[in-house]
Amino acid sequence: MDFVWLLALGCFFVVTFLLLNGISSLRTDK
Amino acid sequence: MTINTFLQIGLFSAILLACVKPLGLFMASVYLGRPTLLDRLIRPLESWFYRIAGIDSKSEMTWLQYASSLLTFSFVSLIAVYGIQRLQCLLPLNPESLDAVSPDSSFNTAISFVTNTNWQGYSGESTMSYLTQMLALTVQNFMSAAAGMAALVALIRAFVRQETNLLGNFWVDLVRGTIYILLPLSLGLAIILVSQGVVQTFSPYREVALLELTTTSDGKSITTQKIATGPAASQVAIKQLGTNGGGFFNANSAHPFENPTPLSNLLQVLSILLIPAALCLTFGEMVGDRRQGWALLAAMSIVFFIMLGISLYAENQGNSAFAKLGVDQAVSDLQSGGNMEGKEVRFGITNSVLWSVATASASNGSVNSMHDSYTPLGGLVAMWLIQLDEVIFGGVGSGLYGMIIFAIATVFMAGLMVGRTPEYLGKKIGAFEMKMASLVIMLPCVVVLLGTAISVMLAQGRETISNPGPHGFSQVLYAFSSAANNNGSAFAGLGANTPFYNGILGLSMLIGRFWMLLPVLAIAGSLAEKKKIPNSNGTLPTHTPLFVVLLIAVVVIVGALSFFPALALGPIVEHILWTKN
Repeated sequence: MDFVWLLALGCFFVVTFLLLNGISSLRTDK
Repeated sequence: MTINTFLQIGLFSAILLACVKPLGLFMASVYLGRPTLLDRLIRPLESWFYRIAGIDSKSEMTWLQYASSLLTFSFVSLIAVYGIQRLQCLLPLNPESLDAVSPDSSFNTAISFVTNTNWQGYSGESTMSYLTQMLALTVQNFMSAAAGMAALVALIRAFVRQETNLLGNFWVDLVRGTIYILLPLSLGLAIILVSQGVVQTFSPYREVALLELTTTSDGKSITTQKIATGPAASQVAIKQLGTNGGGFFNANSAHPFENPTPLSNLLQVLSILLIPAALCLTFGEMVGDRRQGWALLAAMSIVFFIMLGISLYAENQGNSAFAKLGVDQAVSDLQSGGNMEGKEVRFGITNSVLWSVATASASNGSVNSMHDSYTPLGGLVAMWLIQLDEVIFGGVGSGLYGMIIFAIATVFMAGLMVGRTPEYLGKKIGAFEMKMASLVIMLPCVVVLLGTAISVMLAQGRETISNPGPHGFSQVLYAFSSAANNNGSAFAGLGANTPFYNGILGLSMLIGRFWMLLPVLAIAGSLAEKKKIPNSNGTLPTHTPLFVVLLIAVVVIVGALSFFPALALGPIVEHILWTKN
């Protein structure tokens, strides 16, 4: 079960870093 | 309401106001790198930290580096807190031989403490070892608060600087916030709390003889009781100062070992609002115009006192169901009167309501009374204050950066009304800033409403609701409002320690913290690159009473529009049913 919850945490942070990149490119595009 | 009520509120407000300026200016000095009184004592410790951590305190970061550092630090903290809970049965300082915390509860609690929410689905004294309470939870009380303050300071620097992409160094801001501000204040408060009777010990729980013997339902007589103790004072101090709110014991600050006396109660409720209020002055000082800080503080205070008045009125009215039974609920020398269900007799209505409004507005989440037992209007006040994106004081750092985002939205709307180019503190507000500000304002609303809707639709969400009808709906709405806005208080009554709620509330807390922080830091990065433009006749002054009123209007209208339909299904319809019966 630990694996599932840690994977969930990992996935959230991967998505968050992708979001960070997305926002950053939004600024460059302006 | 009695004269005593006004005297107590007056005393609380006077002490808070007296502390705001000195503490605010001190914090500004800390973040500006100016000399402070604590330098001789703490500077060597600070340098030592940088040396062992390999931090170059002179180097600065772009907003992307700042955000990445904050995210990485939080991720590592999450794994550490999760690991300590799962391994506590093998680790020292576990005199009660408590078992490892379950995986879903560890997940929820790790997120809860790293995001400065401190939502507690567990009962502290029967779940967490002393080591877990200290090394995992108390450490995160400091770190999450300092991280929030660091993000705020980065945003403030964006208004001060121009034509640069550098916002400071996250690690330096984190260390300075912790060792110059949070640690000394917490140390002082913890010592005073110990003097009042808050426990601070590594001794095992005590088995004591009952003064009054009792029997269980199956006739077994009970002669002893186990009294939980532990290193509580050191955790209680930072839980209030860092607007964390997570109690050492399950009953939080209603427990006599966490909050034993009227003085401990006053100091704790003051500590809840102390740093968020003082940070307004820090903001004013750092941007070079203290009036800007006073204006934001005035906006927060006006909403706070109006909501306090409504809640006091509602709770002093008493419970209409009791009135029908002929129960005397009037104020007298023998009782405080009003609705005392779920409140400590020693605190009465005034100190319970003051705490509830403070804890809801400041994203703290600790309680000295149970919000589930408040009148529908009293419960609505606490819930709605949380739903206002936690900007009425709010969490340390997070409350003020949320309010600054609302200020940006306000100048934009005012600009639209009169045809001026929106600007705030000399920085033009453009399309990018408004897109990011909209994300910050709308994201928690989406999470709260979606999470509530999903939970009441699914059987797993409905089966642990303890009350039928609108009150049960309020329990779920409150839980998601609390999680997504990183408050942490519970309405009580909702059985939230299930894999379903641990998972979905954990995700809500993560989004409410980190997906809010990214747009805030992106705005900071964008504003820092802009030139400062001098004030002109076309500039909307942002320190005047007019701006304060506009800002309050924007905060309240956004909060009302977003949540009125949901509140109508919960506390509002409950209030109508209550008065009708």
